Amino acid sequence: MILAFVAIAARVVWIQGPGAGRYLAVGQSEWTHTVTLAGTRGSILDANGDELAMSIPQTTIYADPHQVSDPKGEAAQLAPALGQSVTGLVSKLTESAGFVYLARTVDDATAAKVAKLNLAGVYSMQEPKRFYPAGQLAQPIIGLVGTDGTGLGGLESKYNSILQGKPGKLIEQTDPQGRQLPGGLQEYKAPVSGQDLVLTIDESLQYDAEQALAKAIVAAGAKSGIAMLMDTKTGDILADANLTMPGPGIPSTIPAVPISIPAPSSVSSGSASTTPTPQVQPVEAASASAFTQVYEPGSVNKLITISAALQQGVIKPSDIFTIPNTYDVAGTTFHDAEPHATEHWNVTDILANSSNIGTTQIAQRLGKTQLLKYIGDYGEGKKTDIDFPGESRGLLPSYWSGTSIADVPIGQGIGVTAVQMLAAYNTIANGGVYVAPRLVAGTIGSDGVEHTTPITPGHRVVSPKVAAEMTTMLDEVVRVGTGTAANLSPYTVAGKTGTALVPLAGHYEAGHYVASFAGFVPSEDPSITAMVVINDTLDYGAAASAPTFATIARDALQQRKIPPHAPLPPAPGVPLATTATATGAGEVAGTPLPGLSPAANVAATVPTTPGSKGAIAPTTSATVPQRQRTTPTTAASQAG
Amino acid sequence: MNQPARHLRRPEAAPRRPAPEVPRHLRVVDRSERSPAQRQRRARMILVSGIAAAVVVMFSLVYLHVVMAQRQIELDKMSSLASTRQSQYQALRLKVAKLESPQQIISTAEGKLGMRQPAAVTYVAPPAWATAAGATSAGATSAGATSAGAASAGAGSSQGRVGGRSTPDAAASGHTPPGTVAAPAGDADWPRIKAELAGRP
Repeated sequence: MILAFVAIAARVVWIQGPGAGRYLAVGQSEWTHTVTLAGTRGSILDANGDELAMSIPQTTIYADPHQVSDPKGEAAQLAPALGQSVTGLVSKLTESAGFVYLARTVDDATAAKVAKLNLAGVYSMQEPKRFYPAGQLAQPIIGLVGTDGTGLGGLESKYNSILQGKPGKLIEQTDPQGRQLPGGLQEYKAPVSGQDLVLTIDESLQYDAEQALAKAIVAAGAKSGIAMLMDTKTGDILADANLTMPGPGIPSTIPAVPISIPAPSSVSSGSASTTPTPQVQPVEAASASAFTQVYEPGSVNKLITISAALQQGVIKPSDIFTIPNTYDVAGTTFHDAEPHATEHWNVTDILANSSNIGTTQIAQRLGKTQLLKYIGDYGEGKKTDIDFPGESRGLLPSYWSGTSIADVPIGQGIGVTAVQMLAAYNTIANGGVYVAPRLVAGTIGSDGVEHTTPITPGHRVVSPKVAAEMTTMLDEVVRVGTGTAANLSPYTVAGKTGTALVPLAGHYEAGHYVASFAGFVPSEDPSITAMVVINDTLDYGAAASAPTFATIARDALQQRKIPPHAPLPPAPGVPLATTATATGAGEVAGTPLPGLSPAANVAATVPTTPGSKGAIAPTTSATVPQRQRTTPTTAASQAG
Repeated sequence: MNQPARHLRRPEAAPRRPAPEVPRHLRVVDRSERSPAQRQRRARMILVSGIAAAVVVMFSLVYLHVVMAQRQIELDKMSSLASTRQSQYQALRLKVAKLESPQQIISTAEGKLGMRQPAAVTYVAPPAWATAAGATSAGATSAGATSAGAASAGAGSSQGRVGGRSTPDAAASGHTPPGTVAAPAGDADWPRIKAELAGRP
């Protein structure tokens, strides 16, 4: 008996003495809880401070299956509240684990229903959920986040470390119901919220651009499109619409862009404003095509060729070139978009008529070395400072064949991104100074202080004189040339159309064009530079892209309260255009002249350029489109 | 005055001793000289005081815990309320952001308010004097109308242009385009200006 008491006493002494640590630890693990406090992910704001993406705490329902005594009964009660099947919930509630998610980031009403059930072993906690108040607007640019709050694409991914913030920590002692014991707070480290990202994108202009682009894609029967707006002086990208038609690789869950704004009859094709909205509508592209998609620019690239030649002094605007109907280069015959008699055109005429032959002759005076130098100076062949995720450098000719001097100057055999070409036109708008495009204006820290993204200093590409000369010529393109559909009177528009063949299965095929228009307004004091690319359409740039350019440029001018200016006289020494082509006159507002096909006179044979690859691969044959009126022989060209 | 204070405070607690002889000098009373009764009283007094102190401390601790529990409950309530308000704020913030989105504005304007997008945009051409006055005040060297219809005032070129371009010859000649008026004297001319503007499409 005594021994028993002694043993018990010894055990008590042991438990209370040397062995107390173990039991104390077990006890503390029961009432002490460490909670990781997630730092709220920063918002993504547009240039005006409107939220494009924001994180809101939502309730997550979870369970501790060990504490669930009646899985079937609880599942039956939870199923209607959570909108899940009883079977699925039973499966979760019977898992051999101490923690299982039942529903993540549910809305407040659902959370209230579950709380009212007061089920054993079923708990809730707060988790941030990413919301996009403007819906799919600018989604390719913004990107998306996963369920764990990590950026998976677009700016959400690129700036994840800035947006994410730092988690905090809470160590507390709680009662069995999870309530903190009095004085039970042991440690609290506050979470640090992520910084807000302020974009240069203007939500309203982005919406307008997407609306106009969606209409243009539908009207042109195209596969995809890009529309961009840029602040001329700062290089800030005000809108970047990237849309595509639903198809392979595009999840069917992505909602279509709801087209709601009727296109003004004065600047768009009539069909776009009167045709009932089709069932198949464009959706947001999977990625920001303006940065990631390389295409052959076509005639918009002539800006680089001609400005480089002017800068190098190998031509003057008033120089007269003899432009035959066809032109042989290295044994290959080239021709313009429209057949014509031998013309004697000045440089303005060549640009206004988008003459391939004239541009080739200018390029031959300039030479390969200088041409490639200026292509690089204008920003082609390298990423922009934005360094968007997946951004392409573009494709410069890896092999210079005999016909390259005819291909590259007119925008074939070279691959660019839309933002590169936009920046090139912005260079002329800025008086010859390249201004790096900017997409992120700055960040706002958790302390509320805004940190502006430094602006990269620009570099001069051509002289102000050459820029002024080019502006006058681009004015003429819109006034009487191929770009009349971009006319935005009383504003003055300087711009250029481009139509390039799309390489399909290793060769070009007529009837599949990349139709583009790039330019700036008002031309006498540019404020807005814009670019529209319609991909894989039967229409020319004048029909498919120029009206959309006019629409988005007009919206930007109105929104930014930029009044029309008194037009300036042409730059000294620059003759006005003397001739307008049928292409320019016939495709105003997307209505080709009767019997005149946009696809007419498109290359039946494009010169072979050995060594070329990918998107700039040569072609050996072309399918004559049904709308084609005349079939060229061996001519090679692309239309402006 | 020469005796210990204790003796002075409680003279009635013990039988009064015979009056001692008046000491010549003060001296400290040794513990051994205290009586057992004195020692018992002292021990009792310490015990009672200790128990009283313990009771006070115990009740103080209980009271402190009660207060802490009350404060914790209050803190929990306030935390819960703050959390609720924060959730409401975030929800409202999201609601505002959604309502401010262009799609929502268009939907409300067209669906609820019956508003329609204009089929075409009409630009109001200000009178020539207005643009001339603006150009003068801005230090500009050229002045002209700012619409296609009024784009007949330009500056400095030998070439006339058509289709919305400047026709410097007209400006150089000082000819005032039809439909323009002379610059007014001041704000008093507003009724006339208003009528002028109202007459424009």
